[in-house]
Amino acid sequence: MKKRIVCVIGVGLLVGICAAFFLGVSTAQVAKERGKINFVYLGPMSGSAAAYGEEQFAGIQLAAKDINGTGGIKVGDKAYDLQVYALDVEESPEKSVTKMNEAISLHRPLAFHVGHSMAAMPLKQFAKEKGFILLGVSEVPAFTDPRNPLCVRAWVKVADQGPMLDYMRRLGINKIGILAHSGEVSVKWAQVCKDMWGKRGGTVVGEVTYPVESTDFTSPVTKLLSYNPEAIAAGGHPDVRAANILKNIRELGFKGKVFFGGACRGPRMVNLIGNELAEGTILVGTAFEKGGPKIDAFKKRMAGLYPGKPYGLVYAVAYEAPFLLKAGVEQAKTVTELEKITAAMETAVGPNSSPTGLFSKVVNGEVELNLYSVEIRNGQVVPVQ
Amino acid sequence: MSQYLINGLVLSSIYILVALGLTLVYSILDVPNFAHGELVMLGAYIGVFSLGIVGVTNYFLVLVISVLALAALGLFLEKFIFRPLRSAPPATMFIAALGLVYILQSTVQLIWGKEWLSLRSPFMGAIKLAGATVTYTRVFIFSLSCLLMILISLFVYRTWLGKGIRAVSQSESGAALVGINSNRMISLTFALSGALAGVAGILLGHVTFVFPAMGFSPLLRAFAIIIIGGMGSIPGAIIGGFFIGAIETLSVAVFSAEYADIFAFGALVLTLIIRPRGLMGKLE
Repeated sequence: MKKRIVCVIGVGLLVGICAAFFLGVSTAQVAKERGKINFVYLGPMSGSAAAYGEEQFAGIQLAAKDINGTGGIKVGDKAYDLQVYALDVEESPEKSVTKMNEAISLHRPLAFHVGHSMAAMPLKQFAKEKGFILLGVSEVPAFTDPRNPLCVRAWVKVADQGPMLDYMRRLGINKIGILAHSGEVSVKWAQVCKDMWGKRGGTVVGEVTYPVESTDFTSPVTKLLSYNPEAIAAGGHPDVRAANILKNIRELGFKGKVFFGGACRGPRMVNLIGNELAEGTILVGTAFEKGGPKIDAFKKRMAGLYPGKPYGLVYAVAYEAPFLLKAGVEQAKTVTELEKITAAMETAVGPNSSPTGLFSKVVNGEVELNLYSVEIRNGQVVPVQ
Repeated sequence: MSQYLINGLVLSSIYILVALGLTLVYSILDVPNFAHGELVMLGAYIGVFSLGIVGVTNYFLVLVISVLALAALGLFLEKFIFRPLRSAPPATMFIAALGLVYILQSTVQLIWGKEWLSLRSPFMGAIKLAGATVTYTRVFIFSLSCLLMILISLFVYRTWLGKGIRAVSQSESGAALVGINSNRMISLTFALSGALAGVAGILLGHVTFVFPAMGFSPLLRAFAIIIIGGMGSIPGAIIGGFFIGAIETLSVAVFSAEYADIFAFGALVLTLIIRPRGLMGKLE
């Protein structure tokens, strides 16, 4: 009896092992049929900007899941899964180059998605030499000028200020003060703002620049307020820094309008300083804030996936980036001819290829975003006329 | 001009608290504790955590919790990390402190996440002082910092425990010969240093926001302050702190915010050239 039981168990085990083997082989064969496109995110996964890095990579991961779940990226008869990886570069240009090399040796990515200008700018010069497409969350004009055919800006530009400045003029504002940090994006933003404000008949009464690593802004803000501006404009400041600046501005008694450029999105600012201090702050609005069927559905999905998290445009833009690549690859019908892929994006990208409706046009290596003037009202970022 | 001076005084007062904690430990170990900035950061996080539990109406309880928690942490770090390394070369303690920086930052990120947090102050409103607008929060920050500076000075120079700390900082073996328990004095110093870091963290959290890397900037400032004031000197740290604060804010007023660091660290270098021991030398 005992011998019988042992025999049955032994045969059962043998059958099980054989089944597992053949299942594994057949799965591997299926997997072999579906290729792999590696997509690497380089951004701040630690340090003071880690929250942004986490938000961006979360968007990319969801995009990869959605792309792979609907058959992957199709080139002719072959389908490719998008495999995503994240490497931490903090906010260091040197680390971004080191990690770029590490990613190339480990993963040979088709594309990099970089989380900020400090990572994007050093990598631009390597795109052709090392053979990768660079999708950059960078406002800096130099990212696309001079043009590198392998670099695509997937974010707002420093020039994206027009509707907001028009709104400020409609409010009767004439004199503005400009606050900038010493980093390239903020300096360029300030130059563009001065130029655009002047063309609209306004006056810049003062401009103050402070070191980019500052954490207290009382003195620069005091200096700016000494010029008696009616409103303050500041660009290149993500939410947390903008929140600190705004707090200092209000503590010093300034009641006028404050306009923050593209990097400041609103939710984190409201979380940090509350509705009252954030009330009336003007921001650069996109279709994300304006709303629409696709983006509203996506926002609902985001809220369900990340309850309580201040995720917003940064997440949505990161989510769009892999779809941008997908559109280019499928239109160009190649995974190796990089310039063909980025050139194809200009015709392939449209309202249908964009899952949220945000990235509906690519022109000269830049995603064209529809812009709207928005304000923070009652803790919410809402479009204004 | 008064606005700039008041801005500078308030911020300097926080940096002086950080510098006092740093200089106390340096006076007794002869090695700067590079993890001190992380203790300030932890003070801020404990402030956020306890404010969430007890509410802003019990603000002083929040201060007490942070002080006690960081004092306890200071004792823990002294007993289990710095004491075993006291007989090792100074570089070992330096490296251990650096390691602590990464451990503490990563631990905080794991517990509280990567988002920046705000440490709301219970004091609302502002007053006009000599033409400058000052919030009640900043008045409180400056007042509390000055009070702590006075208390620490009195403690170190007027109490027998303070005398014991000074004796051990002069000579550990000499102190032992007269019956002073040097381990106990060193532990007390670390506890005091931690307590000061706890308060500094909360006060700094009102001025800026709370995030894992927030300790680096005040630590850098604190080092500049204790070098100018004299390593190990409490009066030197106080004078050095206000000196650097005044230079920074006046350089913003007269020139530009971009020159603040040039003038502040330029003053540091000049002081070291003229008086290498700093303004008031080592703790006696």
